Amino acid sequence: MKRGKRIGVYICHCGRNIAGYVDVEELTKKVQELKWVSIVRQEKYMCSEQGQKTIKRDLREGLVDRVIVAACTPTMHEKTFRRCVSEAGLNPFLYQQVNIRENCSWVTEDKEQATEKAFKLIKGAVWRVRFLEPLFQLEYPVVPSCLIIGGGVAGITAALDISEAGFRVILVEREDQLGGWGRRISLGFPKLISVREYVEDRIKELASRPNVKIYLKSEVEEISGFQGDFQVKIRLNSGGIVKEKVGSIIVATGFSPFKAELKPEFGYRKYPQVLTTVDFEQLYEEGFLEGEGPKTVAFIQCVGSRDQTLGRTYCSRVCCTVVAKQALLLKEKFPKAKVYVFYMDVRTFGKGYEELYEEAQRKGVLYVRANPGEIYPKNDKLCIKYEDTLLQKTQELEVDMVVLAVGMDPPNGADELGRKLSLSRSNDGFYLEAHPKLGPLDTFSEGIFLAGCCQGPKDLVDTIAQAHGAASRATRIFHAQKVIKEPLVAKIDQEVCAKCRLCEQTCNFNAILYDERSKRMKVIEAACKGCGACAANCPSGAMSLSHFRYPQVLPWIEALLD
Amino acid sequence: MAFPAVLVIGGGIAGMQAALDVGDAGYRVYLVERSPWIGGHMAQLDKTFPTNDCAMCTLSPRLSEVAGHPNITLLTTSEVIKVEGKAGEFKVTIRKKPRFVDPGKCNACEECLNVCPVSVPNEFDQGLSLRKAIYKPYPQAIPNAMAINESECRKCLKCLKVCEQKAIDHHMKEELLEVEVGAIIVATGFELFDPRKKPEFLYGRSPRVLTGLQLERLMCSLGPTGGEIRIEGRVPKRFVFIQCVGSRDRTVNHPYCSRVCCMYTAKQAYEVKERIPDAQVTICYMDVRAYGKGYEGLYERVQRKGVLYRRGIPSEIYERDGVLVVRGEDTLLGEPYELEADVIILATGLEPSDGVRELASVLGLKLDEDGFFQEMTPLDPVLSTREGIFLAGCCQAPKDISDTVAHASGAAAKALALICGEKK
Repeated sequence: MKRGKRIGVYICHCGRNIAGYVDVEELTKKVQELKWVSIVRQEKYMCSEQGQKTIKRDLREGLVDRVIVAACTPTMHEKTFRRCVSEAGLNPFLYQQVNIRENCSWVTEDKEQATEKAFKLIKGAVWRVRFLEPLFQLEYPVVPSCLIIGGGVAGITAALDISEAGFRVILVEREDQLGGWGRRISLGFPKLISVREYVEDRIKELASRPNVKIYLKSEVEEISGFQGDFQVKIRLNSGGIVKEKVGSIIVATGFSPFKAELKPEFGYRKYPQVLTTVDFEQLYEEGFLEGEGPKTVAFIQCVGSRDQTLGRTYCSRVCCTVVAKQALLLKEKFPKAKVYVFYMDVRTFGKGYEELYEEAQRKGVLYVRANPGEIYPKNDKLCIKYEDTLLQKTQELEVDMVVLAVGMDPPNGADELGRKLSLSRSNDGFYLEAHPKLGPLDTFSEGIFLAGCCQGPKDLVDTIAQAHGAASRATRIFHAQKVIKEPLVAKIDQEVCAKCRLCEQTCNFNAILYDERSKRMKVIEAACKGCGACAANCPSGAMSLSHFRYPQVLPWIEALLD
Repeated sequence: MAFPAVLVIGGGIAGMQAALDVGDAGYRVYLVERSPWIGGHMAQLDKTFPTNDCAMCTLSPRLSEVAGHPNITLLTTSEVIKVEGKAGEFKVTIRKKPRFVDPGKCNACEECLNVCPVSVPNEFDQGLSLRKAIYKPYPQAIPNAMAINESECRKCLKCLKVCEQKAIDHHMKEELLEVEVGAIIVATGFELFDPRKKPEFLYGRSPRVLTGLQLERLMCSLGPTGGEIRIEGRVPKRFVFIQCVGSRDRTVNHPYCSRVCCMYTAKQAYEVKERIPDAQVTICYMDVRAYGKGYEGLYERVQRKGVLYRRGIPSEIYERDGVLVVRGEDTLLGEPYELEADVIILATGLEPSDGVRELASVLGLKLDEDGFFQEMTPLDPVLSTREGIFLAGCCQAPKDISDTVAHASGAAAKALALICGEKK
């Protein structure tokens, strides 16, 4: 392979992000003196069209044959610049990005040190890019079917979209019917319409779709493979196993309500008059509130939410509006009942939710900003002791009924399923999305997407929006009919390989195997994640990782240590 | 068979996400944006909550992706004026107004800026700086080309003489384009409430009363002060933030919660303390709505940084001996108070964007009582009141960036199902 002789180094100011801490002028001077560097340029924003045009011009004029951009993290802009250089005819793998923002300017106030470190990182890259080789994207066919785990509202919504687009859906639900919590909600908010009817209509529609296969009382036993070609084993109620092949996966496993017993001071299951908001929904459906009804009712918000003592610091997002709705329903049925809501902040943020909260107040629901401490029996009633944080007084209130607004926990089994799918979880235990702003539906496992509450608490409306979104993300490769993959995969030098099979044991992704027919070790490129563990473990040096081969990595390290 | 293309109206983060999802799936997308550049409001932000990441750093790869996407046809300075047909078979007429600069030729060298004699308030900086009649709002703007505002230009033609690329043409004419699409995604975003409608807060009368977005521009390295929080030449020390300005307020006909202000205020308060550690920062609020993933954590971090949350929205601001005074009642202490401030930031809420009424009538869509687009069923926020037209982002109701992105992908899913479902 021809080594690079004319390296172009492009230094980005990133506004003040880099230029505020790294002395860009000084850096430019020092880099210019490096051997093999033919051009050093600076730009306020290298990623701007202007910056990209500069690089392209230098390439087209033949001034450079390797490109280094010293800017932000490659996760931000490596794609941008790879595309930029390839548009000017350079193989994108002859490009290297150096992170002088997150790794330099953002981690110190010391301008001199930041500049020195930036120089070293660039020097390392200069020594490496000389030895880089052109590589080409890999392409694989796609199985145009989607596995959806969880048959609640999120799973049903996504399944409908995907089957409507003409692709096959495998829907796995561990309960004996579809619908999840959607079946257990009486009326939705902000408009008090029947959720159950909505959900049942969707289920009927789904059942009529010939390209949807539903497995009830079943669980995902094992998943292997990769984006475009996953192999799934589903354990049926009978104990039998069914195998399916899918191209992508949507996780829509929902949530578990917080167990109110974990707040023993509220007496759930100890006093029959203490319910949760979940119980309320069910009892309302069953018409429990016949006859005279309760005279005084208290709702307590944030039970299992925003509570450090329980390790649940997050807000569960739905409870405030659920309570506004339930208080309103109660008040409509029993106009004479006194209904209190104990709250910290009223978070009725969604479309029409504030109006629902107002309506509840107009109907006479009394909101009390307070921290209830405990509930105890008094006469034949219950007494709530609380501190009114507006009046700054400790008070007591006698009630006939208490409703605890329980928050949302990650669903049972989130841990186990997360391991099977290699999904990360955020601090709160919910599955972690790829990016908090721009990638709320994607995960770090390619081909696996999130819908609904398994990613974090949310109401029905937001769940439905997200589920539609997951359907779009999960079917992009079906429409495109292929998966494109980075060529950063393990390569075997068959001449050197002694077939000790250590690599096979090392690989966590089942991407290496011994091929009996050819009597050779073989890398399944589509499964290889490019982690390099096999290359590091190979005693003979036969195994290497493309783009990170020894001759490419060693000079890099040498320069950094120099 | 449905036309295998989708029209996306609005080039903010919602429109871009929807366009990318449809484009990645291999279908033609016409992305129509009425301003000369895409990017929307997110481009004006310095950071995004709850992680306080740099907004431009996450946005700019998206901008480049849209610009370089082989399946996305970008139509800026354009508006949809007529829609005929039905779901699967829409015929759309688009009016493309003249940019007076050929984006294919312009390389944004900015020589023209030096000679243009016109200076007007820069809307991108929320009026905190001036710009020329020929301009580009920020370096990463896509398309990377200048544009001339017709009503401001004096036709002195000085820019024409300095333009080496010969990119400028003052005689460009309006064009009408017709496209055929199977589905339409509306992503027209929002506008901020005008705090002049709450005269008690002195906005527009004191230069030390800002909106949240103005503070955002002051904190941004590309903003009018290069990222330094300076007002009238001085670094303020006493900050008072007022929440719910134009939200949850029936007196200005905005009964709804705007869903983002609590968190953008928390983020800004955190950044102020980060940059001016001895600043005294007070946030006046009704309820702190830190509902999203990681939001409660930010709310806690802000408080640990020494920001004081004070419950109760102030009743007025007045000037006493040249000093701004906030008057309100602390509803936790049950006491009235007065608080002196060097700068007051109004967390203005979101309202439907200008022109939605006309657009709704062109598209045959219904608006809700607040002026946002109405859904076919209240449970599904993606379906508009007309078949084949889908909603994405804040045009349906206020939402933050994550919820907007999820929602926009949702609209893309429905559009894709419609245009390719029949074919299979």
